[in-house]
Amino acid sequence: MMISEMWTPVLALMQQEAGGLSQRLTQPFTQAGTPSFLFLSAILFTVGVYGVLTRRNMIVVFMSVELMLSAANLNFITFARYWQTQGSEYAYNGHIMTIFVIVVAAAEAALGLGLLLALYRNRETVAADEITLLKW
Amino acid sequence: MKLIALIPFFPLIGFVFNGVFAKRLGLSEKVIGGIACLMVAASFFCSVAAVYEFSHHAHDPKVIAEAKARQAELKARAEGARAEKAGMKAETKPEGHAAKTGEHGKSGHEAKGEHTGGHESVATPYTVTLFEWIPGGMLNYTLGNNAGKGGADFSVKWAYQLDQLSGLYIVFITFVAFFIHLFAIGYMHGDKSFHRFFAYLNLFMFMMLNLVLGANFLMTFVGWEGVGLASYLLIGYYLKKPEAGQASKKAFVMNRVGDFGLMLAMMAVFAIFGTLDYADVMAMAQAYPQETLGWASISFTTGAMTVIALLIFLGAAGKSAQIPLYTWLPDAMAGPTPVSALIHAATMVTAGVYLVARCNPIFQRSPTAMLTVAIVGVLTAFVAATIGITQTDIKKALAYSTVSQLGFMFLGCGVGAFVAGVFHVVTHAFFKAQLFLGSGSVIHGGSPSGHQQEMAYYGNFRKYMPITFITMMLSLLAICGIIPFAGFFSKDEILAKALHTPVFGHEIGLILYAVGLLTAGVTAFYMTRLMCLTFFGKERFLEGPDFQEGHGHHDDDHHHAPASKDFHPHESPLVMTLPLMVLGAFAVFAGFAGVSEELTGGALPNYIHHWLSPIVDSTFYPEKAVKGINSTEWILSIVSVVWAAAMMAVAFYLYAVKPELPAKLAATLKPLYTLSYRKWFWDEILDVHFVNVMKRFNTGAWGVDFLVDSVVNLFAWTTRATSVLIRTAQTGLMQNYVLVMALGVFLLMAGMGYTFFKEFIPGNAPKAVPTAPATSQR
Repeated sequence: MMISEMWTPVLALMQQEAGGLSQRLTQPFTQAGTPSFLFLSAILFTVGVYGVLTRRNMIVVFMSVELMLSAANLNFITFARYWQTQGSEYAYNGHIMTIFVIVVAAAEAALGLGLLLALYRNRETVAADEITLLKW
Repeated sequence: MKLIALIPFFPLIGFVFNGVFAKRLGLSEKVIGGIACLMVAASFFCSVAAVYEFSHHAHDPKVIAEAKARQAELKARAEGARAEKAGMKAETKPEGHAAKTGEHGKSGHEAKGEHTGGHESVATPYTVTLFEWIPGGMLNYTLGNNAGKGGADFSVKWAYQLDQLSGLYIVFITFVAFFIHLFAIGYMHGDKSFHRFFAYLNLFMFMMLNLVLGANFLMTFVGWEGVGLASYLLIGYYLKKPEAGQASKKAFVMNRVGDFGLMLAMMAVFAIFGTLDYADVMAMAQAYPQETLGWASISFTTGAMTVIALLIFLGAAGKSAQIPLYTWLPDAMAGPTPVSALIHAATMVTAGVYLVARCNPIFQRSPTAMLTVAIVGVLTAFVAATIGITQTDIKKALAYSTVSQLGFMFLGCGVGAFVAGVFHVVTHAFFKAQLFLGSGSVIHGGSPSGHQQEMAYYGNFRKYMPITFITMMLSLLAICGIIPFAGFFSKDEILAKALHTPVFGHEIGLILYAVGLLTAGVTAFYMTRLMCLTFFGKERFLEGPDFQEGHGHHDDDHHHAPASKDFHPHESPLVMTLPLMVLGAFAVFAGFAGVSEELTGGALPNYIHHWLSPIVDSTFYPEKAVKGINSTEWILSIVSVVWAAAMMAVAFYLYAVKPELPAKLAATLKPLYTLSYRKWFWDEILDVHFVNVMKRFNTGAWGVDFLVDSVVNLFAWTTRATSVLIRTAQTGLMQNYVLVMALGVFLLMAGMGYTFFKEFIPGNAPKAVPTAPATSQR
């Protein structure tokens, strides 16, 4: 009895903690906070900018641009979800915008890759620092 | 009469046809000349028909009543006192009865209709409007009686107006022009650009008819500029003659000086009367009082009419070659002779007289302007006549004679004898056109090249050219003023009116008369000299440069062999002599249309005077009824005839009987001779005082130009230097640009973020904020 009584609060605490732990373990996948997504989005965007600014290969630059677009999409979705919890009438604007961006990004990717191919056929390179036609 | 708009358009058709198609169709000279003549002839017949119809129209009581009512209304409007109109009408009505003649006190015109009876003095212009040319909208009266009282619609119509003055002009213009066109067919025979010549002549006719038929100042101005253009083209017709090009430019530029005055006058007219239509302006001008004589009247506040009149006269002096703008006319003789006859003697140069006569109600309100016109006219007449004495070029001598006669016409207008001035225009058109055509015939037949104008190489041509000689003699008698030739009646009337002028005091009239009479004598002298040198004396035509080795023609680049010495001057063909004869006949008989009734006591009516009296405003100078034969007039006439005949005799003695005398005389009177031969140094004076001043001004303007350029260049160089610096930023590396853009966006975001969220930064919160707003709603 003593032993059982001795463990009771511990167990209760453990139960409580276990529930909290499981809650904490599942939380990111079910109801992670808005700030977390925003942070992720910011990190993605920064990585994209860094890639655009530093990589010589234009294809990688392109991919970095796609990263930046994804970051923007994530931002849209995050706020859409947030407004949904608030019961706002703006709840679906973010979704629509995201789909729109995806479509445009697809078109832009096709166009950009086409340009890159044409560029490569003409100049035999896709290095960003070797293409300085816009110099004065 | 509705078809008066056709009158100018016949020559326009000729101009377009000859100018555009004649060369391409390869038409012969006869066809081209025939078309040109035909168009002018059509205009002439239309003019005669229109004037005939108009003479009935002008006597229609209904038309007269309407014209009077319209004039009264316009006059009331010009008085600018609609509210007081009723009161004024009551006041002026007795006056209207008191002043039995003229149009004074027109508001009482119902009563006056009976007074004037059959003799109407009201202008009854007949106007045809083709279309509205310049719809300009409302503009305010800024000068004159109505200043500040509303505005008028600036609407200029392409309209033609037939009245007594324009009717007279179109008839004699088209008549003289037809014969000059005919003459030109012979004179220009063999010319390389025959069609161009006739196209220009027809263009001139179109513009001249626009000038005289135009119903408003702007229409006249179109014609005014148009005849200037045609004159320019025709003076410079001989493209290979450098002096022709110079002369055409000189004529054009000097005319611009006058046109500037005319344009200012038009602006002033609109600012005062709110319209440019002649009929309206002249009726409204009658609401203005007579202004005082003197410098004080040259101002818009005290003498609006004086200013307008002087500006109009500046335009007239430019076109009609009066002092100080006359030097272009003698130089204009570089053009072909028919041009000199048509444009620079008979028609265009009389446009100034036309305009002054047309605007006589304005001029009559300004004794200052009248005195200016009279003095300028008589001085021009005298100066040009004295220059004419020593000219050796036959056409130049005639040109100075033209300038001199134009001076007479202006003298007539200036002393209030507008009818006499216009009458002299008509007679002068006949005899001077004849003289020019005669000289053309002499030039044509007097030398192998057909271009010899120096009288030094003429002499005794009466043997070879009898028709030219006889017809020119008739015109000589006309221009010298021998009774009963045309020039006598017109010139004598001008002189008589100058002596008895009602406009100024008797002393001024006497001086004007004396100078005019002196000039008439000089005219007789130099015209006789011209005839003697050409038709009498020793035969000198074999001494001309055509017979010298290696002479060059004006028209040809290559040199000719000397002409054969068995050359004889020859009479011109019929196509040239016929105009001479017809115009010569008119030089004899035209004068009978305007015989002064003071001479005949009314036995022979003064047709010109009766015809033109409606367009002359008689408010201030009512006509005196002619009471029988006036002996003073006869004495004046006899004096001038004897004087002219005496001068002719002297000239004949000097140049035909004793040809060695003139050279001696010239040597004795060297200063006078030089003064005349060098044209009173007028060109030199103009050079020193105007041309050189303008040149110096231009040199000064170059400094301004440099300054302005420097400022502009400074901006340009600054821009360039800056761009050299800044363009190094443009590396062409895409990632540079992206970096800069990203930095910019970062700075922008940072700035915005700071602005919007600064209160959330710890320690920076405003003190008064009670609670921080909630952030996450999780």
